[in-house]
Amino acid sequence: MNPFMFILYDIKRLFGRGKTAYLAMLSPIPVILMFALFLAPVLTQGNGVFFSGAILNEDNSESVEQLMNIIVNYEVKKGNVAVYPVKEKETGERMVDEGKVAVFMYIPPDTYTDSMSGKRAVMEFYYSPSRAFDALTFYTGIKSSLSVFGQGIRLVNIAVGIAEKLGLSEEEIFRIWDEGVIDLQNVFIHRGRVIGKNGIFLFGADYHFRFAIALLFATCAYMSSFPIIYLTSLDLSEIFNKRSIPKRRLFWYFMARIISGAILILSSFLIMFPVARLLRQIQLDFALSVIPGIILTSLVFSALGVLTGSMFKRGQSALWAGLYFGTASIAGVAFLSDKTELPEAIAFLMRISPFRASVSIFSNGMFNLLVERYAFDMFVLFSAFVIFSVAGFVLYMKRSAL
Amino acid sequence: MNYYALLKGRARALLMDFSSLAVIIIAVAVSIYISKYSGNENARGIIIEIVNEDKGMLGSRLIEILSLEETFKYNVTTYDEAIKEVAGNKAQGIIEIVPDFSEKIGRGEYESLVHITVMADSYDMTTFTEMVINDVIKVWSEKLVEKRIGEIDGVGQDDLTEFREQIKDVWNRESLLDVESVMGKEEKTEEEENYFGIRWYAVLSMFYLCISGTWMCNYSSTGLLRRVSGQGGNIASLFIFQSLPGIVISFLGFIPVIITSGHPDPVNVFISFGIYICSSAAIALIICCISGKFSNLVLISPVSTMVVSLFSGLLCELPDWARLWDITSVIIPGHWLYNAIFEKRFFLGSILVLAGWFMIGICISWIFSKKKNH
Repeated sequence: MNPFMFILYDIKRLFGRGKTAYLAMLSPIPVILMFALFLAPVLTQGNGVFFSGAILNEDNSESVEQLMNIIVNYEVKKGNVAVYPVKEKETGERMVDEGKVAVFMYIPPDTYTDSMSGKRAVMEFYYSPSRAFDALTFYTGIKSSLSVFGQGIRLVNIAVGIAEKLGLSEEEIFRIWDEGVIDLQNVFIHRGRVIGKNGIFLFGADYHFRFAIALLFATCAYMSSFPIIYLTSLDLSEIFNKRSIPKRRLFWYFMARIISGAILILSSFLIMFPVARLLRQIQLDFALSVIPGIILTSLVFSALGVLTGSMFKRGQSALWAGLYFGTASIAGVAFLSDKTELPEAIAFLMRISPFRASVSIFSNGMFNLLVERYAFDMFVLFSAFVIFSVAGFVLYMKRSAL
Repeated sequence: MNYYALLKGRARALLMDFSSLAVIIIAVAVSIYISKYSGNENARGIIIEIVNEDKGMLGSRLIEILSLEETFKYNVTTYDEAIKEVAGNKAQGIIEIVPDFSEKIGRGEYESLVHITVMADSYDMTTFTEMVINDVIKVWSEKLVEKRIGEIDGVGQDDLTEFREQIKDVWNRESLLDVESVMGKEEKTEEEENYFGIRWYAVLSMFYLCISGTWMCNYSSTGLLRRVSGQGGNIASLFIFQSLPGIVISFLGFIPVIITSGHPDPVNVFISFGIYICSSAAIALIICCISGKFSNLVLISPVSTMVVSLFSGLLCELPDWARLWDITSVIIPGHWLYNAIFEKRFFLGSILVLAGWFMIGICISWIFSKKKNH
């Protein structure tokens, strides 16, 4: 039998009549649903984060009105926010509670005069729990930038204090005050330009989405390796263990299993990849750059599946080991990979983890390709493939009756 | 057909085989760990590389202000070194301060004062860009106000020094303009405890029962199904007797999980778990019958376990807007276990669900055995 026939034969065994491949292809859908459950408001609204909000401005000062216009108008123009002015606080809160709007912004009376006279003024951001995820992202942006504006007023206060100490006229002090506040407003309007972007808020607000998509890719790919784990363990216990197979032939069986496994895993990307591209309008060149990563990820997880299957005599034990290892890897990448206060050994393991490298290729390759990181991740994946394959083949030989 | 002998054989195999026991022992250990430590916060401190190419003094001031941010840890370095660290996953972002940063701010220009590179490998990076912008704005505001002071008639170097002294801690002080978030009316009460230990153990137990049915698939070495079918045995009864030891072991494993969870009403949760695990066995019977081939089973099992656990709220909390999912999940056993965990009514619902899944399981296994006999 030539090597190609080995692969065809193994694909037939692993895929059955194609049912397993279809299942692998469809298996990401429930996982996509899971992610969609939390990210639906983001997923359904293109690239931006969409809010319908109510606003009540009880401060009659021109400056606050101007400031709110600056914030709101840009986002309204961009289509990120639809704003409905209300006349009473209760109306705004009721609109949120009834699900008519996602957020309600309340500006109490004397906000401007209080803050300008050195007294803390607090606005209210009332949000619906059902939109907590994106509402709080927006809230974080607006809170931090307004806080900076509010702290900036302290700077103007210091300047005014110096002017008073120098004995300047009241008119002159007012002029310094007004110019200082206008300066702050100008800075505020152009805050996005300091990193070369338009807009006022929500820079980087979709990073969590990128990360979630990447985790989804890697998780589904890993789950598709379960049949490989089980079949390998079963083969070694029941077929290869009872028959003497020459080393060369065993090698081809081994390679055929890795390749057929990789093809099975690749099928799980068939739906996910176009869906991800469609949802986030990923640039074609970025999307194409991920394809080598997808192929290598499939090969690595397939080799890992064969290695795990070769380690255990019972298919179920191998499967459980695979499940626990997968869960630990996913949890590690989701919660630990960016942390610094970890023991050096764990930090090192996280760096060389093929699961992390796979997630990193998807999260970074698809959205903003940093070539150096991409190359490193590909190197990690390739090294993992070589190590898993060699270790897997050694175990394969050990467990079969050569 | 001697089902009792099958039960004994299966129980002996499960108890004697360490790897089978290890599965449930690990599940118990993981669940206890989750119960005890789910409230602990993760270590924080994402490393960010700063490349300061500014020829003036304001770049250093920006670094000073950035250092006050607690979410991130900063490392001032060269561009090549920064790229190396990010590429090697030792850092998650780069802030590059442009060479004419001070000059531009001095001239009142604001275009592209810093370049940011972000690796989206963490949820925490969502706030990173906003934070950098705010800190640049702080430097810019300081410079603007200083410039205004410089324009005042009669101002001296002492006054400017005094201003610089006074602004040193201005960014640590409370903002004069703030926004507070208020969560709207919640339709369900916020649970103080999440009992993830119990919930995840239930998920793992269901997966355990599903995957324990691989003997029903084509590639099984035991050929048990073939032999039983040949002797006219009943597949549903066979499955029940084969699953019973697994159910008992899962049930026993639940004891330490419920004890360590500190649940105020362990008896009700225990009863509910018993009904849940029996219903899960009925679902497992259906999954095993439908799968037919082992490779299908090992794909369907984790996916279906994940789906039913997700819909029932066992895996994680359902968002409030997913009302439809919540309502439809009443047909899933996990829904009633979830209710029991959070001290809501469960008994009648869970019994009806058990009866329903049991009947469906019997019907499907009957069809399956007819198909096998053909």
